[in-house]
Amino acid sequence: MGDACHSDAVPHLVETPQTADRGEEPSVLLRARGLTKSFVGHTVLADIDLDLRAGQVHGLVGENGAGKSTLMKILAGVHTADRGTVELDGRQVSFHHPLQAQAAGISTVFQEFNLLPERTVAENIWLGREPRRRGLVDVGRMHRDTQALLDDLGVTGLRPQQRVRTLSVAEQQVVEIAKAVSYDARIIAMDEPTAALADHEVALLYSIIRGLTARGVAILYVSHRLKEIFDLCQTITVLKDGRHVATRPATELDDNELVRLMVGREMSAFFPDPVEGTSLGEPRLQLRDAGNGYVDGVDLTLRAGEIVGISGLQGSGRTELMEAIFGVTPFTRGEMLVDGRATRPRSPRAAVRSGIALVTEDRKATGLALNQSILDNALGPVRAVFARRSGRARREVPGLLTNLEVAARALDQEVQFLSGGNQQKVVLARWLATDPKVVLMDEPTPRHRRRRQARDLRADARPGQGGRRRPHGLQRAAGGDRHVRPDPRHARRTAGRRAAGGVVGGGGPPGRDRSLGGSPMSTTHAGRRVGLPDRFRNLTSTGIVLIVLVGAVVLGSILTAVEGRNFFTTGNLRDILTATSILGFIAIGQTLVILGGSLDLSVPFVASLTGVIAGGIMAGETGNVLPGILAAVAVAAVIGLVNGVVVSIFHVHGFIATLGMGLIISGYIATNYQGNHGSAPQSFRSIGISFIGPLPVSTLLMLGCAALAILLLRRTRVGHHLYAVGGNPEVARLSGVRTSVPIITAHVLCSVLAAFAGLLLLARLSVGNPTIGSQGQYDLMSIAAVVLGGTLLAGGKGNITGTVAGVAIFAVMDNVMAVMQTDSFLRNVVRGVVIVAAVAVYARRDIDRRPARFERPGVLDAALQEAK
Amino acid sequence: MSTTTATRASALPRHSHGLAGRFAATVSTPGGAIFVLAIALLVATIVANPNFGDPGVIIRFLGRTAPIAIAAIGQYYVIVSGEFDLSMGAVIAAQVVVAGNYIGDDTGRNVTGLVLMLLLGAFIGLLNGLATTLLRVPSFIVTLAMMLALTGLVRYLSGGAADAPPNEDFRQLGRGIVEDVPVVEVIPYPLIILTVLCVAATWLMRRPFGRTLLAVGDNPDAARVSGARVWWVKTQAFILSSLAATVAGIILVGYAGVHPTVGEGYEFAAITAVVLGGVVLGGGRGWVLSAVAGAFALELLFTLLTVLEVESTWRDTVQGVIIIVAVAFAARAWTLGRRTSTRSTTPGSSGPDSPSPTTEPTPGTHTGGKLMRRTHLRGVLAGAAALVVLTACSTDDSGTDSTSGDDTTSENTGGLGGRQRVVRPG
Repeated sequence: MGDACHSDAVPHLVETPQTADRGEEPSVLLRARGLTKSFVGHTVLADIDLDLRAGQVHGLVGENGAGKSTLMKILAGVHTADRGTVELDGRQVSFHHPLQAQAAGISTVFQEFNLLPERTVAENIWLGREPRRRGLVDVGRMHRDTQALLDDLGVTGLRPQQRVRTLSVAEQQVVEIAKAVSYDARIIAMDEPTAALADHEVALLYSIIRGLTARGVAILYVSHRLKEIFDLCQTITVLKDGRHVATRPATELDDNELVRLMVGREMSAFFPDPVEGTSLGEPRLQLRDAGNGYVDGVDLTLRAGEIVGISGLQGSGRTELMEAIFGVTPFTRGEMLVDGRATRPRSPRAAVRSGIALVTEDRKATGLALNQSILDNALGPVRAVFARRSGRARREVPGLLTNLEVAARALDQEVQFLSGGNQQKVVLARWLATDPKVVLMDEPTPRHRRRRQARDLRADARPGQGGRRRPHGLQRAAGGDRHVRPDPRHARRTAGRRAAGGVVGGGGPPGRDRSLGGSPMSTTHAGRRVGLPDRFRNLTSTGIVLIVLVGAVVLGSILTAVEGRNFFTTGNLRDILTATSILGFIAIGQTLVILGGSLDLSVPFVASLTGVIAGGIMAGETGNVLPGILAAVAVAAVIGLVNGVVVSIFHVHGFIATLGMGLIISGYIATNYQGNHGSAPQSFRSIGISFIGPLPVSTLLMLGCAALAILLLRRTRVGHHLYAVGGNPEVARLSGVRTSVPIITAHVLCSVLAAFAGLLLLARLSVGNPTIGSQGQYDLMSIAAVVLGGTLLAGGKGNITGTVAGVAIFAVMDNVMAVMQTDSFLRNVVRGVVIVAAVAVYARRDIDRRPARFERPGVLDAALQEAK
Repeated sequence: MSTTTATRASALPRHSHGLAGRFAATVSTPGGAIFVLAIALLVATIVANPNFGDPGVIIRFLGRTAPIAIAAIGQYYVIVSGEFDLSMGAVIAAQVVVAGNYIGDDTGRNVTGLVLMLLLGAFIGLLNGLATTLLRVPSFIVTLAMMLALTGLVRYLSGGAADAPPNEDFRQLGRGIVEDVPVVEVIPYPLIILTVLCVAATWLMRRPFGRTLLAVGDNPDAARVSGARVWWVKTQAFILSSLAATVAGIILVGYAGVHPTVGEGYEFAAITAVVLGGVVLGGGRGWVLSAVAGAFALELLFTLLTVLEVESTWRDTVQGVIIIVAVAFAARAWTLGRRTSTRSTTPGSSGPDSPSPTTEPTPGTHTGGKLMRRTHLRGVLAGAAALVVLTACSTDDSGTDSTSGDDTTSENTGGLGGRQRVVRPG
């Protein structure tokens, strides 16, 4: 089988490798022999051979489930093969982690993006390998290297400093490829790199790939699009059902032959005849010139008992059409009729109510609740929408599942332990249980299941339901009675090898025509939703926080003036600044922890404990100040270490771990310290009350810590990794970040900063008070200040400057309310309202600034509409 | 591929195990293990102090624990939908103050007062829920702000001082008892309320609402595509939580009087109980009765410590250790305990198309599922036994049997105040 690839590989269409024109055989970089892999007793790859040659693009084709992704993941080190060998430059290699593969020069661009939306292009590319100079991250070099990398790929218009979330899908794809190249990869595997790209964006990818091959990089290219395969590849390997079918030079193949190899049958075999007795009934679903921002001018009639396929490339509007019918992005124009009645569902709920069902593309992300049982999943939509019918459905669903031949032990088994095919059946069952009139299927079938499913559908279509599927692969597209294609351009181009019969016209989705205006790439962002004024949207969160702070100061000075006092006296400003210091220390630490996706509720107890410990050691003696401080810091560091280890290594939620730690310390304090303890000597007390110029020393110390924390976050690897771990631990891990290190560091620093706060409290009070920390509610107030400062509670986004501003806003608010003689209890009411209002504004902005790939109004908007 | 045909023909059974197997599987999950732990703690307490074995004493203890258990039920709904409710303690304080000020001595206002309090509770829950779901502010922040605002308001209105408690009739809800009951002598009203709520909560979790709530906590996107109104389901959970806090407040008025600090720390106590009951933070897993059992286990632990004459100040520490250990255990045990070995996977197994190696059942551990479950079961039972034996030994050493059940009663009522240290000592 593998012999075929030794035959002359004549480049097709592309003039690339240097060696090609001399007719020499390019050297084999990677030689895989007999790769076999099985999951849970099921063989997904059997005895696969593969040769990758320098400067060549090797196409890997096959239907879904043929084993392409598994093969790629073995080469990438994500999976390890059960049998078989991989030789790189003649040396046998074996990878157990993606990093090992990358180090050896094999990079992979996976289908799902492994990028952190809140980090910049440069930070994403160099994650885990940030260039350093004298111990600090060399940001300048990082940006220069990134720019060089992008220039090398021929990409213009992308800046290294840009945040990934502001990029279009195509640009994100480019960043992924740049990241792959940055490992000095000699082999790059790409898993359907064009899956989410529009036509003109594909051109850019072509030029990048050609540039790479010209430098002798070998590329393994997985795609469903035959045109791309023939445009780019010199050699093509076909897999089917985990087995090697053929490896041939692209010149020896044409569309029909390749399709025949992939599916193993002639095209005519793909149309199963309608089940006997099925007759087409009345139209169940009709669309007349329907459209919204993503599809336009759709005409469609679906009759009872009919299965209509919608084909077309990804990005041609297939999914968007489904979502429009299902109410995720409702139609704004034209007519939609279900059973002859005009219906325009504005939410999935409304669509389900009117008898429409949607089997989604990604059953794990949007199809099933994996921790729930088969029965609960199968009853999900009925319970959610037709609660009254759930009793009857409960009796019927077991039979339905049995008819669908779901292979499971029992109905109470959790669906996460089912195989993919069986999960798919459960998804189907849950919709059939709602007695739908119209079933929409978005890429419904993984691998072998599809024939069976087509049969099931047939059976189900009989009672008069309209079936409707949007298949993707070749054979599946052929499974329906008729075909609809959203994009006529593709229809023409592929007419030769696809079942014909396009009915629906409609241009490319206008909402997606953003980003790459061909190559060179330009980064104009069109089509943003209207809402907040642009200027406001382009502000960083920190910018807003600072504006709020200024606003608070202005408002405060006015209110103070109304009271007949001056806000801007040195004394008043000093009061405000002094008031920021203690909460400031704790909030800085809290920011670090929250950025890493954790929380610290133990800070008030750490502050109390360190206060009494240091007070006890100092005992009024100036000579004991240093030992006292050191002891406090050491104790705090140990507490932080334990917190960090429990959170990152034992995987206990930060909320629980630190709540527990707080309780532990609180018990210890209550047992060992009754009443005030120890005393601070005069020299130490001066820290709390002295000033340098107009500025309180304590606040200067706090600002110093803030500056150090900023340095940590911006210029150290730990800081960069902290953002990464908080943003997406899986991405961080894949990039070689040891995820526990930043978390533990953040927790240690947070506790130490809480100790500083405790020491400052000791200096102010001159005695150690065992309950001072909890009296100040520093745990919750610090979290509130951090969030008020624009940091995301879930982690991965935010900064110290915002936090300091958040603390200052609290201080100004308190000050003004004190001047106005507001009841101290009412201040908390104001605080509460301000916090919620501020965070609601940030959240609102984040929705507007969703990353490009979520740009099409999706599930979020549906929820909003539901709410209305 | 052909291995599957055997399992296909027959209808799917409802359960994967027989009755005994289901029991074993249940007990080896954190949600089931908490019942074993609670029983073991009860036995240990009785061993340490035989007076506690008297049914009358136990029933009074259960009555005293009712407010925490009710709060745990409310908190359960919020946590299982993937959110937090930190405003619970403040709601209790608000309700207690409302009861004191509005109802007061006027028995004629008892019913209207009750209705008013329930409406207020539902309204607070509605605010929490809407701010979380529609404004998209994390529930941690929303309920924290609600806690700040309510606490501030309550203290402002009450001046921060104790008020006269409402009339005796109203307080009967919290302190009343049904007398002359055989065996247990008395049944406190709070225990009756708790029992009713437990039944109602279990029923609710079996209703479409409950199952949808679990689905929403597990995978909100999937729930939305299924047609669930995620925002409304979650908001209902918040309303239930605030209503539960209201009921807890009504009971607390009965025996704790009217003071704005009543209820302080209840939110963390309730979260602790829920988490101890094996309910996973982040949602989608756990049983409501486990949360109740978690509340009882927590209180029993405190009682046991009191009986063993451990200084009461160590309670917090013990609670802290327990909660961390319980969650660390639960994180692993849920998946292992519930995993049922799929003898026959179909040809299209999860292999090639499942993108992330982390979500996929790890090959190899499949067959180990049953073994793991047994190991866990053994661990749970051995731990429970060890607890009882240890207590017996330490009791023999100290020879303490002087502490009567009534002493623990008073100690424990103080314990509610003692847990105020959870947030703010003093």
